[in-house]
Amino acid sequence: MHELVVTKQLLKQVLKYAADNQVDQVLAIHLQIGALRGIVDEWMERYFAYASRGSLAEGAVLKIQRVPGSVVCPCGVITPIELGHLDEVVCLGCGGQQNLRLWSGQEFILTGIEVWGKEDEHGGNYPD
Amino acid sequence: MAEITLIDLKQEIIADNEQSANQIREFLQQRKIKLINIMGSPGCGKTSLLLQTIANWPRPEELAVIEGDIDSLVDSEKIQAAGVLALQINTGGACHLDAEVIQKALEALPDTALKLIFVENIGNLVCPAEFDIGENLKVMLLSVPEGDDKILKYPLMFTIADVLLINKIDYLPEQDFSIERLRERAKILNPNLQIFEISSKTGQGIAKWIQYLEDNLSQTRIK
Repeated sequence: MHELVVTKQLLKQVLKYAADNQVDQVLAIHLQIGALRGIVDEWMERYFAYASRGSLAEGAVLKIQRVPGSVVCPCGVITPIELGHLDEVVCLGCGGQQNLRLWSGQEFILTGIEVWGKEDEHGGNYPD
Repeated sequence: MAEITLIDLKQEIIADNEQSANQIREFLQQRKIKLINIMGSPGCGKTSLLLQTIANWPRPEELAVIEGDIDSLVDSEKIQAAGVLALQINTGGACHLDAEVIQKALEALPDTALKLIFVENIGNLVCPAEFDIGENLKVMLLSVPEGDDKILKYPLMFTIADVLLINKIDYLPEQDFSIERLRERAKILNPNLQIFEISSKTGQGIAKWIQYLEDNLSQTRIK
Protein backbone atom coordinates (compact mmCIF):
# COMPACT_ATOMS: atom_id res chain seq x y z
CA MET A 1 0.00 0.00 0.00
CA HIS A 2 2.85 2.35 0.76
CA GLU A 3 5.22 0.82 -1.75
CA LEU A 4 6.06 4.26 -3.16
CA VAL A 5 7.37 5.50 0.20
CA VAL A 6 9.53 2.46 0.86
CA THR A 7 10.69 2.34 -2.74
CA LYS A 8 11.96 5.91 -2.46
CA GLN A 9 13.76 5.02 0.77
CA LEU A 10 15.25 1.99 -0.92
CA LEU A 11 16.42 4.03 -3.90
CA LYS A 12 18.03 6.57 -1.57
CA GLN A 13 20.04 3.84 0.16
CA VAL A 14 21.02 2.16 -3.08
CA LEU A 15 22.26 5.46 -4.55
CA LYS A 16 24.21 6.15 -1.37
CA TYR A 17 26.02 2.82 -1.65
CA ALA A 18 26.53 3.37 -5.35
CA ALA A 19 28.15 6.76 -4.68
CA ASP A 20 30.26 5.42 -1.79
CA ASN A 21 31.61 2.69 -4.05
CA GLN A 22 31.96 4.92 -7.10
CA VAL A 23 29.98 2.64 -9.35
CA ASP A 24 28.78 3.60 -12.82
CA GLN A 25 25.54 1.70 -12.91
CA VAL A 26 23.39 -0.35 -10.56
CA LEU A 27 22.20 -3.46 -12.36
CA ALA A 28 20.26 -5.34 -9.72
CA ILE A 29 19.09 -4.91 -6.15
CA HIS A 30 18.74 -7.85 -3.80
CA LEU A 31 15.99 -7.64 -1.20
CA GLN A 32 14.60 -9.89 1.47
CA ILE A 33 10.95 -9.24 2.28
CA GLY A 34 9.06 -11.25 4.88
CA ALA A 35 5.69 -12.84 4.13
CA LEU A 36 4.05 -10.70 6.82
CA ARG A 37 4.95 -7.43 5.10
CA GLY A 38 2.15 -5.90 3.07
CA ILE A 39 4.36 -5.24 0.09
CA VAL A 40 3.33 -6.16 -3.43
CA ASP A 41 6.36 -6.94 -5.62
CA GLU A 42 4.76 -5.67 -8.78
CA TRP A 43 4.02 -2.25 -7.28
CA MET A 44 7.53 -1.96 -5.93
CA GLU A 45 8.90 -2.75 -9.36
CA ARG A 46 6.69 -0.19 -11.07
CA TYR A 47 7.45 2.53 -8.53
CA PHE A 48 11.13 1.73 -8.67
CA ALA A 49 11.18 2.06 -12.45
CA TYR A 50 9.47 5.44 -12.06
CA ALA A 51 11.51 6.79 -9.15
CA SER A 52 14.89 5.70 -10.49
CA ARG A 53 14.59 7.42 -13.88
CA GLY A 54 17.72 9.42 -14.66
CA SER A 55 19.67 7.95 -11.73
CA LEU A 56 22.51 5.40 -11.60
CA ALA A 57 19.92 2.80 -10.69
CA GLU A 58 17.66 3.37 -13.69
CA GLY A 59 16.69 0.03 -15.18
CA ALA A 60 17.98 -1.97 -12.22
CA VAL A 61 16.15 -5.23 -11.56
CA LEU A 62 14.66 -5.89 -8.12
CA LYS A 63 15.53 -9.43 -7.06
CA ILE A 64 13.10 -10.04 -4.24
CA GLN A 65 13.56 -13.05 -2.02
CA ARG A 66 10.38 -13.72 -0.07
CA VAL A 67 11.03 -14.98 3.43
CA PRO A 68 8.28 -17.33 4.60
CA GLY A 69 6.76 -16.90 8.05
CA SER A 70 7.80 -19.32 10.79
CA VAL A 71 7.57 -19.74 14.54
CA VAL A 72 10.09 -21.11 17.00
CA CYS A 73 9.08 -23.37 19.87
CA PRO A 74 10.72 -23.34 23.34
CA CYS A 75 12.00 -26.84 22.35
CA GLY A 76 14.12 -25.10 19.69
CA VAL A 77 12.43 -26.38 16.55
CA ILE A 78 11.35 -23.91 13.85
CA THR A 79 7.99 -24.55 12.17
CA PRO A 80 6.75 -22.78 9.02
CA ILE A 81 3.38 -21.02 9.30
CA GLU A 82 0.73 -20.26 6.75
CA LEU A 83 -1.09 -17.03 7.37
CA GLY A 84 -4.52 -18.44 6.62
CA HIS A 85 -4.06 -21.27 9.11
CA LEU A 86 -2.73 -19.67 12.24
CA ASP A 87 -5.00 -21.62 14.54
CA GLU A 88 -3.60 -24.94 13.36
CA VAL A 89 0.07 -24.31 14.11
CA VAL A 90 1.74 -27.21 15.90
CA CYS A 91 5.46 -27.48 16.57
CA LEU A 92 7.03 -29.97 14.17
CA GLY A 93 9.48 -31.03 16.89
CA CYS A 94 7.42 -31.67 20.02
CA GLY A 95 3.81 -31.14 18.94
CA GLY A 96 3.50 -28.22 21.36
CA GLN A 97 1.18 -25.25 20.75
CA GLN A 98 2.20 -23.05 23.66
CA ASN A 99 4.66 -20.16 23.70
CA LEU A 100 5.48 -20.35 20.01
CA ARG A 101 7.30 -17.18 19.05
CA LEU A 102 7.47 -15.57 15.63
CA TRP A 103 10.82 -16.42 14.05
CA SER A 104 10.67 -15.07 10.50
CA GLY A 105 8.36 -13.19 8.19
CA GLN A 106 8.96 -9.55 9.19
CA GLU A 107 12.17 -8.99 7.21
CA PHE A 108 12.59 -5.92 5.07
CA ILE A 109 16.26 -5.85 4.20
CA LEU A 110 18.49 -4.63 1.42
CA THR A 111 20.96 -7.51 1.15
CA GLY A 112 23.08 -6.41 -1.79
CA ILE A 113 23.44 -4.55 -5.05
CA GLU A 114 24.93 -5.77 -8.30
CA VAL A 115 26.91 -2.98 -9.87
CA TRP A 116 28.88 -2.21 -12.98
CA GLY A 117 32.20 -0.46 -12.83
CA LYS A 118 33.18 -0.87 -9.19
CA GLU A 119 36.82 -0.11 -8.64
CA ASP A 120 38.63 -3.35 -7.70
CA GLU A 121 41.61 -3.58 -5.34
CA HIS A 122 44.06 -2.97 -8.20
CA GLY A 123 42.28 0.26 -9.10
CA GLY A 124 41.07 1.54 -12.43
CA ASN A 125 38.70 -1.27 -13.20
CA TYR A 126 36.41 0.93 -15.24
CA PRO A 127 34.88 0.54 -18.70
CA ASP A 128 36.41 2.71 -21.41
CA MET B 1 37.48 -4.31 -18.51
CA ALA B 2 34.75 -3.59 -16.04
CA GLU B 3 32.99 -6.35 -14.21
CA ILE B 4 29.72 -6.88 -12.53
CA THR B 5 30.31 -6.85 -8.80
CA LEU B 6 27.95 -7.76 -6.00
CA ILE B 7 28.21 -5.45 -3.01
CA ASP B 8 26.98 -7.34 0.03
CA LEU B 9 24.83 -5.30 2.37
CA LYS B 10 22.54 -5.89 5.28
CA GLN B 11 20.53 -2.77 5.71
CA GLU B 12 16.99 -2.19 6.94
CA ILE B 13 15.16 -0.47 4.12
CA ILE B 14 13.36 2.11 6.24
CA ALA B 15 16.50 3.21 8.09
CA ASP B 16 15.75 6.98 7.96
CA ASN B 17 12.53 6.38 9.81
CA GLU B 18 14.34 4.33 12.46
CA GLN B 19 16.75 7.17 13.05
CA SER B 20 13.94 9.70 13.60
CA ALA B 21 12.13 7.20 15.82
CA ASN B 22 15.21 6.84 18.01
CA GLN B 23 15.48 10.62 18.34
CA ILE B 24 11.82 10.72 19.40
CA ARG B 25 12.47 8.06 22.07
CA GLU B 26 15.31 10.18 23.46
CA PHE B 27 13.16 13.31 23.47
CA LEU B 28 10.34 11.50 25.29
CA GLN B 29 12.67 10.05 27.87
CA GLN B 30 14.14 13.46 28.65
CA ARG B 31 10.71 15.03 29.03
CA LYS B 32 9.28 11.98 30.87
CA ILE B 33 6.44 11.69 28.39
CA LYS B 34 4.88 8.48 27.09
CA LEU B 35 3.77 8.28 23.47
CA ILE B 36 0.99 5.89 22.57
CA ASN B 37 0.30 4.94 18.97
CA ILE B 38 -3.36 4.08 18.33
CA MET B 39 -3.91 2.09 15.14
CA GLY B 40 -6.92 0.47 13.51
CA SER B 41 -9.25 0.50 10.51
CA PRO B 42 -11.43 3.46 9.55
CA GLY B 43 -14.49 3.34 11.79
CA CYS B 44 -13.09 0.96 14.41
CA GLY B 45 -13.52 3.67 17.05
CA LYS B 46 -10.12 5.29 17.52
CA THR B 47 -11.50 8.79 18.15
CA SER B 48 -14.29 7.47 20.39
CA LEU B 49 -11.72 5.54 22.42
CA LEU B 50 -9.70 8.71 22.87
CA LEU B 51 -12.79 10.66 23.92
CA GLN B 52 -13.67 7.96 26.48
CA THR B 53 -10.09 7.89 27.74
CA ILE B 54 -10.06 11.67 28.11
CA ALA B 55 -13.43 11.65 29.90
CA ASN B 56 -12.14 9.07 32.40
CA TRP B 57 -8.65 10.43 32.91
CA PRO B 58 -8.38 12.18 36.28
CA ARG B 59 -5.87 14.80 35.12
CA PRO B 60 -6.75 15.93 31.57
CA GLU B 61 -3.97 18.55 31.58
CA GLU B 62 -1.52 15.65 31.26
CA LEU B 63 -2.94 14.59 27.89
CA ALA B 64 -2.45 15.64 24.29
CA VAL B 65 -3.49 14.04 21.03
CA ILE B 66 -1.76 14.09 17.66
CA GLU B 67 -4.41 13.42 15.04
CA GLY B 68 -3.38 11.89 11.77
CA ASP B 69 -5.82 12.03 8.89
CA ILE B 70 -5.62 12.19 5.16
CA ASP B 71 -7.67 15.38 5.29
CA SER B 72 -10.00 17.48 7.49
CA LEU B 73 -9.98 18.73 11.08
CA VAL B 74 -13.05 16.89 12.36
CA ASP B 75 -11.18 14.60 14.75
CA SER B 76 -8.98 17.25 16.34
CA GLU B 77 -12.04 19.48 16.78
CA LYS B 78 -13.75 16.70 18.74
CA ILE B 79 -10.68 16.24 20.96
CA GLN B 80 -10.36 19.97 21.56
CA ALA B 81 -14.06 20.19 22.42
CA ALA B 82 -13.33 17.57 25.11
CA GLY B 83 -10.81 19.98 26.63
CA VAL B 84 -7.55 18.38 25.54
CA LEU B 85 -4.80 19.80 23.38
CA ALA B 86 -4.99 18.40 19.85
CA LEU B 87 -2.66 18.76 16.92
CA GLN B 88 -3.84 17.80 13.47
CA ILE B 89 -1.55 16.29 10.86
CA ASN B 90 -3.05 16.01 7.40
CA THR B 91 -1.02 13.65 5.28
CA GLY B 92 -2.67 14.70 2.02
CA GLY B 93 -3.06 11.13 0.85
CA ALA B 94 -0.28 9.24 2.62
CA CYS B 95 -1.54 6.05 4.23
CA HIS B 96 0.42 6.20 7.49
CA LEU B 97 2.27 8.56 9.84
CA ASP B 98 6.03 8.24 9.96
CA ALA B 99 8.55 9.25 12.59
CA GLU B 100 9.53 12.43 10.79
CA VAL B 101 6.06 13.99 10.91
CA ILE B 102 5.62 12.93 14.55
CA GLN B 103 8.94 14.56 15.38
CA LYS B 104 7.72 17.85 13.92
CA ALA B 105 4.42 17.58 15.79
CA LEU B 106 6.18 16.92 19.11
CA GLU B 107 8.36 19.97 18.61
CA ALA B 108 5.23 22.06 18.06
CA LEU B 109 3.65 20.97 21.37
CA PRO B 110 3.98 23.42 24.25
CA ASP B 111 6.40 22.62 27.06
CA THR B 112 3.75 22.00 29.71
CA ALA B 113 2.77 19.26 32.16
CA LEU B 114 2.16 16.71 29.42
CA LYS B 115 2.64 13.09 30.48
CA LEU B 116 0.75 11.10 27.90
CA ILE B 117 0.51 11.85 24.20
CA PHE B 118 -1.74 9.76 22.00
CA VAL B 119 -1.20 9.50 18.28
CA GLU B 120 -4.31 8.61 16.34
CA ASN B 121 -2.81 7.02 13.27
CA ILE B 122 -4.40 6.91 9.82
CA GLY B 123 -7.27 4.44 9.62
CA ASN B 124 -5.55 1.49 8.00
CA LEU B 125 -4.46 -1.98 9.16
CA VAL B 126 -1.52 -2.28 6.79
CA CYS B 127 0.83 0.67 6.55
CA PRO B 128 0.96 2.07 10.11
CA ALA B 129 2.23 -1.35 11.24
CA GLU B 130 5.39 -0.89 9.21
CA PHE B 131 6.48 2.47 10.59
CA ASP B 132 8.01 2.89 14.02
CA ILE B 133 7.13 6.39 15.29
CA GLY B 134 9.23 6.15 18.45
CA GLU B 135 6.21 5.28 20.57
CA ASN B 136 6.32 3.61 23.99
CA LEU B 137 3.24 1.55 23.32
CA LYS B 138 1.58 0.30 20.14
CA VAL B 139 -2.14 -0.12 20.61
CA MET B 140 -4.30 -1.80 18.02
CA LEU B 141 -8.04 -1.35 17.98
CA LEU B 142 -10.25 -3.98 16.34
CA SER B 143 -14.01 -3.61 16.41
CA VAL B 144 -16.38 -6.56 16.59
CA PRO B 145 -18.18 -5.78 13.28
CA GLU B 146 -14.84 -6.12 11.45
CA GLY B 147 -14.73 -9.84 12.25
CA ASP B 148 -12.39 -12.16 14.17
CA ASP B 149 -10.56 -13.19 10.99
CA LYS B 150 -8.81 -9.84 10.44
CA ILE B 151 -5.70 -11.33 12.03
CA LEU B 152 -5.42 -13.73 9.09
CA LYS B 153 -5.51 -10.88 6.59
CA TYR B 154 -3.41 -8.29 8.43
CA PRO B 155 -0.95 -10.35 10.48
CA LEU B 156 1.78 -7.73 10.80
CA MET B 157 -0.43 -5.32 12.76
CA PHE B 158 -1.29 -8.04 15.29
CA THR B 159 2.36 -9.05 15.51
CA ILE B 160 3.80 -5.64 16.33
CA ALA B 161 1.06 -4.46 18.73
CA ASP B 162 1.64 -4.43 22.50
CA VAL B 163 -2.05 -4.05 23.27
CA LEU B 164 -5.15 -5.17 21.40
CA LEU B 165 -8.38 -3.44 22.32
CA ILE B 166 -11.42 -5.33 21.06
CA ASN B 167 -13.93 -2.52 20.71
CA LYS B 168 -17.71 -2.44 20.24
CA ILE B 169 -18.26 -5.55 22.36
CA ASP B 170 -21.85 -4.34 22.73
CA TYR B 171 -22.26 -5.77 19.19
CA LEU B 172 -21.16 -9.28 20.22
CA PRO B 173 -24.68 -10.75 20.55
CA GLU B 174 -25.46 -9.73 16.97
CA GLN B 175 -22.20 -10.88 15.38
CA ASP B 176 -20.52 -14.16 14.62
CA PHE B 177 -17.35 -13.03 16.38
CA SER B 178 -15.41 -15.41 18.61
CA ILE B 179 -13.12 -13.66 21.07
CA GLU B 180 -11.66 -17.06 21.98
CA ARG B 181 -10.75 -17.80 18.36
CA LEU B 182 -9.13 -14.38 18.02
CA ARG B 183 -7.16 -14.87 21.24
CA GLU B 184 -5.88 -18.26 20.04
CA ARG B 185 -4.77 -16.88 16.71
CA ALA B 186 -3.17 -13.83 18.30
CA LYS B 187 -1.26 -15.99 20.82
CA ILE B 188 0.65 -17.63 17.98
CA LEU B 189 1.76 -14.42 16.29
CA ASN B 190 2.25 -12.46 19.48
CA PRO B 191 2.22 -14.37 22.81
CA ASN B 192 2.82 -11.17 24.82
CA LEU B 193 -0.15 -9.27 23.39
CA GLN B 194 -2.31 -7.70 26.12
CA ILE B 195 -5.96 -7.99 25.17
CA PHE B 196 -8.80 -5.89 26.58
CA GLU B 197 -12.48 -6.07 25.67
CA ILE B 198 -14.14 -2.67 25.60
CA SER B 199 -17.04 -0.64 24.32
CA SER B 200 -16.30 3.03 23.91
CA LYS B 201 -20.04 3.58 23.49
CA THR B 202 -21.29 1.95 26.70
CA GLY B 203 -18.04 2.48 28.63
CA GLN B 204 -17.73 -1.25 29.34
CA GLY B 205 -14.13 -2.30 30.03
CA ILE B 206 -12.83 1.28 29.85
CA ALA B 207 -11.93 1.32 33.57
CA LYS B 208 -9.49 -1.58 33.06
CA TRP B 209 -7.87 0.18 30.11
CA ILE B 210 -7.48 3.39 32.14
CA GLN B 211 -6.04 1.38 35.03
CA TYR B 212 -3.57 -0.30 32.68
CA LEU B 213 -2.40 3.11 31.39
CA GLU B 214 -2.15 4.51 34.94
CA ASP B 215 -0.16 1.47 36.15
CA ASN B 216 2.23 1.68 33.26
CA LEU B 217 2.63 5.42 33.62
CA SER B 218 3.35 5.34 37.36
CA GLN B 219 5.62 2.33 37.27
CA THR B 220 7.24 3.45 34.03
CA ARG B 221 6.74 -0.08 32.85
CA ILE B 222 5.90 1.01 29.35
CA LYS B 223 9.07 0.48 27.33
